[in-house]
Amino acid sequence: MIQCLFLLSDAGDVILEKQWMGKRVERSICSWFWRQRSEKEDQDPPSVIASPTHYLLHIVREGVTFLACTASEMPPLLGIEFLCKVASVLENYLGGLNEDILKDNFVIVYEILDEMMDSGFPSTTEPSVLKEIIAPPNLVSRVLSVVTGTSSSLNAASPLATSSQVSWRASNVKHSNNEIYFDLVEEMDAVFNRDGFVVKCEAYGEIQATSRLSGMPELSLTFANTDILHDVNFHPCVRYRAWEADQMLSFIPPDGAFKLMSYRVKGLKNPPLFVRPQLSSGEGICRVNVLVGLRGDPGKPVDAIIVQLPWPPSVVSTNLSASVGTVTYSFSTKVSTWIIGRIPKDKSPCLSGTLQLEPGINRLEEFPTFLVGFKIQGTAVSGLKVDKMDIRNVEYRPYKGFRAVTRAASYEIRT
Amino acid sequence: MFSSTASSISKMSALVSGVGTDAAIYDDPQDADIPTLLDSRYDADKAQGLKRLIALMAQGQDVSTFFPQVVKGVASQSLEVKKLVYIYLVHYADKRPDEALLSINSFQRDLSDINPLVRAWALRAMSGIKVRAVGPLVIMAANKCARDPSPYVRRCAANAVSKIHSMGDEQHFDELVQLVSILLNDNYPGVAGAAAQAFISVCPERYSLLSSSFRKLCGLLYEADEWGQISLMDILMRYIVAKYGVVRDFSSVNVEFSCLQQAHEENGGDFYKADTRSSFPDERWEVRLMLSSTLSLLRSQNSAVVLQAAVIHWYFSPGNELSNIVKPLLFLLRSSLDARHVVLANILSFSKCEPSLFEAYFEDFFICSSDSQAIQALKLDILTNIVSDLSATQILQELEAYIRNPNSQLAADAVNSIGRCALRLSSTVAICTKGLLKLVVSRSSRDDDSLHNANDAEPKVGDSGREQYSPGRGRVVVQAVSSLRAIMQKHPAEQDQVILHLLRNLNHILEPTAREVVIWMIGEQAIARPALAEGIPVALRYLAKTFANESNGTKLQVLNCLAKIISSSQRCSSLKTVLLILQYILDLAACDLNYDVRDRAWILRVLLAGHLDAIKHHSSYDADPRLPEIIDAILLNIDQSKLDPGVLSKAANSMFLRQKSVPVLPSLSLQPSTFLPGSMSHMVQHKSPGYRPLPRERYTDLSPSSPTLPERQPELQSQSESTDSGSESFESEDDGNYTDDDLAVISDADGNTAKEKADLISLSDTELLKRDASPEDLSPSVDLESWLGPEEPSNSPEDFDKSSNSEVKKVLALDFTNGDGLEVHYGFMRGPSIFSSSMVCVRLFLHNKSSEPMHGIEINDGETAGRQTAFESGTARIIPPEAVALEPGEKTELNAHVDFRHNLSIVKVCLHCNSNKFPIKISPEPGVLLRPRKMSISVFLAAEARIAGMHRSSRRIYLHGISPGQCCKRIVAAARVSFIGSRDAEDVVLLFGAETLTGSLLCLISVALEPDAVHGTLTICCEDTLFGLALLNHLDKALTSLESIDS
Repeated sequence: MIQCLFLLSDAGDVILEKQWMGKRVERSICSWFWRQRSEKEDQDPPSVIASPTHYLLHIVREGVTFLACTASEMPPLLGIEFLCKVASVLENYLGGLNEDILKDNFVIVYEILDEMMDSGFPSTTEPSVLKEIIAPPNLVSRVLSVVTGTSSSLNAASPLATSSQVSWRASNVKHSNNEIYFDLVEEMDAVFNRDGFVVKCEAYGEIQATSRLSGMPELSLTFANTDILHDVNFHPCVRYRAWEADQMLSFIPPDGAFKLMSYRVKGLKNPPLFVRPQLSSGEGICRVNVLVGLRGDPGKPVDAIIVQLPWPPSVVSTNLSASVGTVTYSFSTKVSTWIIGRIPKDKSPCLSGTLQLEPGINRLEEFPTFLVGFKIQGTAVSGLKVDKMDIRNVEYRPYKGFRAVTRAASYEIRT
Repeated sequence: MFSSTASSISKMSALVSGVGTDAAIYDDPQDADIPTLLDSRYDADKAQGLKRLIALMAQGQDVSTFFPQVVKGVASQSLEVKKLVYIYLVHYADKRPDEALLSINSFQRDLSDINPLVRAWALRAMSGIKVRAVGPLVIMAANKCARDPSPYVRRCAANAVSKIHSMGDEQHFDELVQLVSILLNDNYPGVAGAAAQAFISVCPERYSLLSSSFRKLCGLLYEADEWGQISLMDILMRYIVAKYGVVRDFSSVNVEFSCLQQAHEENGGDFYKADTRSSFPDERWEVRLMLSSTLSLLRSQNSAVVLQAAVIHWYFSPGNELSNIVKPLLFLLRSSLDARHVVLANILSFSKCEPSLFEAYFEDFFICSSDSQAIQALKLDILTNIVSDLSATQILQELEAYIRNPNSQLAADAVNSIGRCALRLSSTVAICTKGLLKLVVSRSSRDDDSLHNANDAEPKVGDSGREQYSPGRGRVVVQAVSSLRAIMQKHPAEQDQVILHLLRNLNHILEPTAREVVIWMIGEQAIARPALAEGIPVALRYLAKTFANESNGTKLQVLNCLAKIISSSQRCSSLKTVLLILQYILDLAACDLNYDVRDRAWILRVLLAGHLDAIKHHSSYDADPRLPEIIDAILLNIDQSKLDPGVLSKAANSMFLRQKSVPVLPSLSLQPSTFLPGSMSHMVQHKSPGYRPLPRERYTDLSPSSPTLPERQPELQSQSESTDSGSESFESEDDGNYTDDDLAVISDADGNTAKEKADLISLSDTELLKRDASPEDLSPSVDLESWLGPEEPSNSPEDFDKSSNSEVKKVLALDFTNGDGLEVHYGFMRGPSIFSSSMVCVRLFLHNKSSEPMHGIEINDGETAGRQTAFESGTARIIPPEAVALEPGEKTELNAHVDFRHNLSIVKVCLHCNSNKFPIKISPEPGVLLRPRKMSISVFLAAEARIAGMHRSSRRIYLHGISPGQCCKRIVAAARVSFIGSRDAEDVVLLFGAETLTGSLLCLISVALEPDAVHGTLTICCEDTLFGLALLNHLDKALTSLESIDS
């Protein structure tokens, strides 16, 4: 079971350590871990590694490394999922995650970590229950503590939520404004081969819900086209039987923000952007010509277009210019970044110029993969449509909100 | 009035500037007097003090000295103070268990608090204090909390059970099992999940506890929290395995998949026969129930839950339902990015057994640029596992795309995968070969020029060619050539074209390893079809030209290649050319700088004498009259009369012309293993401490009345595939040909030793099963004594003298250069001194190395001249030996008796010889100042429990994999202790007893060997702490030194 957790800053310093078991783990393990990391330069080591004394599990969030140690057999994924949970709970509590925020609130962090794990096994990890035991820091409590000199992050009232039949929701939730929001956040993964054909194109989506509803509401959410969904997984509150039978999400929501569902739609035919690179090299120089344009009409404007061009090591310097947007080149990483933004109506974006190769190399023999980023507000590229949302078991009529956004996650162009 | 406003303004400004209250504490915890704060009457001050302590803790400082003051805080009514005290206590409880005891009373009071949080925290704190004395109190508390109305408290009780069990107190085992069974029957899903975890840590084999509540636990599964789901699934799965066995396993990894599938279908059909034919639930309803209740968990957001559910379905699903696990597993690769590495490693194992499962989803294993190197390797391995005729084109296209990637590691790995695809699917051989050849050619040629013919190419190796060689490109070429070689060996039909191609481009292939492989292939080609080998003389001529500039490995391969050609192609038309080249190269090699090359040349000269002799004397070879001349020149320095040509040619044939096995292209990531999927051991590829394989036997009787379980068979977890990399196996084939049979013997012997090792491990395993035996049963294990063998240390002093005196470790006391030719060593005798039981017998070994006789050799304190009957030196009292005389070259031994008085400081004495004085220092070892003490194990354990706290020192040591027997021998050799026996807890624990010579203080030594036999924990309990520490260092050295005293 997990013996301890270290939070490391991006420089490898220990921000804080939390030991859960009697057998303490020395801090020196962190420097061992950091050496492994720095040996492989920019490559992150595998999430599970065996050090001479312990098995180490780690994840990285916002530059903070969460490093857990164990000396005995345990499911490694349990450890990794726990770390993810810790990271998301802390982020949720503190409104962000970095070294300063953690130091700012280290007492609360300790209290949370102490609740989340008992004798090396995860204990209370549900954010809504945790919030009943440990109050999140907010401005009011902070003002109070500064002015009166007293502070207590612990709720004096006994938490009864844990005794309600629904473990993720307290029985006595009350809000003056009843509202629920659903955000469809989709990420597009696509790979184009060097001939411009689509190797694969799929969308991964999450329905992120924020619920501020009183009482014990029974919600049901139906979609117009569930048949396009290739994979799904659900928050524990979703009744799996109802999904199996009617393809309907039926659930009692936890209070606050939660991830209701994630899904994947495979085999999409309409990637919104095309990128046509041309690289021709000879006599120590490589001529580059990259065209970017819209493919079909996604319905909403495509924003924040950015193309990253990581050059192979044999490239010494670049001389590139763009018809739309700006190009910057980083000497240390050998990456050119072309920021386009939105494609203007009258001009088509084009990047052209030359690359200087290392002396002795005539032609480019390793071909880079370009990464594209974009964002489409107001549309889900997979085409998933929400049909209706019903609420039962409560008196009021809540405000319901839906939004959708699509981002490029791993949109790759091979050259 | 005004000042107070000012202070609040300054406070407000601190707030506005964004500095939280805690940040200030973190940055400078010691700006206030912490002890005063802790002792304050006000909870706010106490909380302040505690926060400062925790800040120091977070920064890695040891603040355990505040323990007594902090413990007092437990009595506070403030929740916050309680919580902070608890955080502190858990952190330091193991360091100061005695002081933690002070807090017990407050905890017991808190157990009756109305707030469930306070009750739960009190129990958590109590169970965190790992002192055996409070064991009964904690169990009482846990019992109380297990019946608490609040599920939060009940869950804490379940967690407390594992903590109490980890204290290692066997007395309360039955009570703990009782508690586990109560908690398992809890109606609240969260409690049952925690109880499942307690079950795993306390009594993982008590399946009888589950048989009654199985249906209920399956029902609770979906509602339990995600962590509880994982533990619950684990215990349910093991229960079913113990009862029914599994449908599918990893043991048949190497079986062709179609027949495997068939076997599964048969097996599965049989397994569920009753299900399909009858409507009422039969005895296997439990399997059905478990499968159906875990089906929904495959849709969990928690990747650990999905994987655990997938493992259950893997083991128990009938063939047609197994595909249920595929999509959820693949979705994890996208939905839980942090879990990708672990999930892929498990998919690799699944796909190895059932490639058809993932065949259609090959796209999910395409590499994207954000994948780390480990993930890339796993994906490529999976792709080569699942490639089928339908997907081959797309997968190969994709692999081809990776070769163009700037990441040279990925490119090389992709080439390796192409080779493995061709080995797996014979339909792809042609296209793979073509692609690889193209790759070798294009990557090798430096210019765009048309391909040179090997014949007229200038030898460019070694000079200008090497400078331009880039490691990335070289890697790809080496990998491509190795892949080609593997394909060729499996499909010899394609050989001609490939060899010709490679021959033509040999002058462009600069990477030495790749050249070696190509030359090796030329040699093999010569054996396989000597008639076709037209190009060989041309290639040989080229190699002769470049020979001097080749790398050593390539030179060896050129020599081997020549030897193969000579041994096989006696009817070759261009024999004369070959012989001339042989002569030339052998002469060059004989003068090589590298001795391996020189040696190889000489060996070949002799070995080939047989064949050359045959060529010379064969009538049909008289075509060229110069042949015998050349052969004589080759065999110039060899006395042919002593050689038997028949024997030599036979030897040469057996070395060079034998059938070579098809090499295994190494997998890029994990080796296939039989570890449970989803386990840590599966990821790290070794048995991690606490790993439990699935129960093997079917425990048919699971009624509560028969808790004893049959012992498991030792499980052998040998790797089935060789891990040789291509080039390595390639070398060993040729270089070690004549030892091939010997190698087989060696590997056989290795196998045996592996088996023995496995047996040793499993012995402790089976002992584990008997854990519920009563404490009286902890007699010395029979197995352990058999390890010790006949040399088991006995405890009577005579025996020690007899057996050990010959091995007394000698320490140089006086060198003959300093001692006018007298050399003195000393050593400590095992037996007690004849003068007093508190004395140690020090034997002096004298050797007169001078040419003069020596007389009047004696020892005294150096102050007075002449013989003393006894004298003091420092704290020690010494009874010196009689004076002796030594002739030149004579040796003698004298016994001095020293009472070190339990002091480890060096004793200085003076040695007189021929009226010269030489100072001698004797430094006592801690192991010598003991006398063995025999006692029973129960006495030992009782005494060990008594000597606690500071008097106990322990250290984790690295054992280099020595056996318990060896470990025992080393300890007995290093210290005068008595072996008491062994105890099998989670680890094998060896116990030794002794007491100090002076004062007769007990000194108890225990060595806990971890199951992996690599690490152990050495613990010494001695009322003299300093001495205990010195002894710990001494034994640590003795155990961890690499020179083994027992060999």
